[in-house]
Amino acid sequence: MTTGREHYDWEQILDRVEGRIPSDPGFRSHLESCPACAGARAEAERLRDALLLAGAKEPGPLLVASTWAAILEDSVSRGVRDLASGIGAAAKELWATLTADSLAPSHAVRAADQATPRLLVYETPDYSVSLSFIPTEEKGRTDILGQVVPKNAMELPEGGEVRIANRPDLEAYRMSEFGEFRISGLTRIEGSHLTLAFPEMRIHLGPLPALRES
Amino acid sequence: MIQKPSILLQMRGSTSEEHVEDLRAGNAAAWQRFMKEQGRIILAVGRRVGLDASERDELFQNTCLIAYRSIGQLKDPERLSSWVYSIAYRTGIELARRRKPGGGEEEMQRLASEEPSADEVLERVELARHVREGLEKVGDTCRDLLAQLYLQADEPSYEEISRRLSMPIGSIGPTRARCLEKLRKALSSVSGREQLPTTGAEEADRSDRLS
Repeated sequence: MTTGREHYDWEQILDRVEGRIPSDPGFRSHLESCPACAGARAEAERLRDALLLAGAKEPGPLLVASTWAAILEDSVSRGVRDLASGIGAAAKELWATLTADSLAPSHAVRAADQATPRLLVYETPDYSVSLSFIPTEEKGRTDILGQVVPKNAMELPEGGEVRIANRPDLEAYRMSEFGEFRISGLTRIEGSHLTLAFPEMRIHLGPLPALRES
Repeated sequence: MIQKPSILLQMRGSTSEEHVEDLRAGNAAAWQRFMKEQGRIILAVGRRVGLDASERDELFQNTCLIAYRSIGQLKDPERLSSWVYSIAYRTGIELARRRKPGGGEEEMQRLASEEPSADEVLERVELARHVREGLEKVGDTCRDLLAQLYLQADEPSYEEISRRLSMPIGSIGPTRARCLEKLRKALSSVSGREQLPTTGAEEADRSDRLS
């Protein structure tokens, strides 16, 4: 229904913008030829959206937590797939468990103060991976010195390299024949996942914890 | 016992660029902040495209997942909100479409054609910051009605609003229109925007009075 000269008044436009009246072809056709009504329609949408934005609540803690869990799970599985496509399918995928942390009060090796490099140890049944985090002179950047050591007198496979999952901007870091590696000047470490890749095996670590106690 | 990582680390900085850098790095604290701040936008979009409460939760999760996967594609950190809005809008339409398989396609296409541009989104997000201030200028009746219509989490029906405000159902629509007009003018002065254009009907009426 329109007024006098087949224009739409403000209430009629609002009803259509909010879906209380279906947006009929006559209305849409009129908007194409009437800049004033088209402008009012745009204004109604703008106002409606601003009100909805103003009234929107923050997502609840349960929703946030479940979403973050889903993101992490997706990230790790995609990181593995991405690396598989880049490096080639490996025979074994291993997930290492954090077994020692120099910041943990119950561990025998405890950092005397925050200046001592943080030390983490991850282990699989056959390998042990140690990571030392050394702050650099440049604020906010950290070097990671790592080494993967096979247990039980096994030999370390050759050609190993280290990648950081979900950081495609960073290159892979080569390991020495003794399984040593260095990642220099890294920022925003917390939450990162490392993958130690060998021709027929990959060892996954992470997510890395915060480097300092909160 | 291994110490659990804290997810609420202090972040390196709070500028848009630094925040997006933190997001790209997968920083947990940055993503917690993202979910809270952008979550309002996502849930508002869900209401905008007609999703119910559980669908909006699904929209929130799907949008955050997509954002996490594709944050590297965001070129301008200042446009994070409009980028998120766009993802949520298109994802929301797909969710709505899934709810009505084979039906309502015309409605979905209409919604898709009405997606606001990035600049329009930024403008609306900015305008939203002034809404509560604007509501203080429209009087008690309008403030209460508009709050019931747009700001209540339970999204009451006209019947419920009529009961809460002791207002005849038939007068809610016209009163809403008058109150939104008042809010429109109040926001013009609050946000510094020019006075808004009149509708074609208002122009025709004015022309009639002058002739």
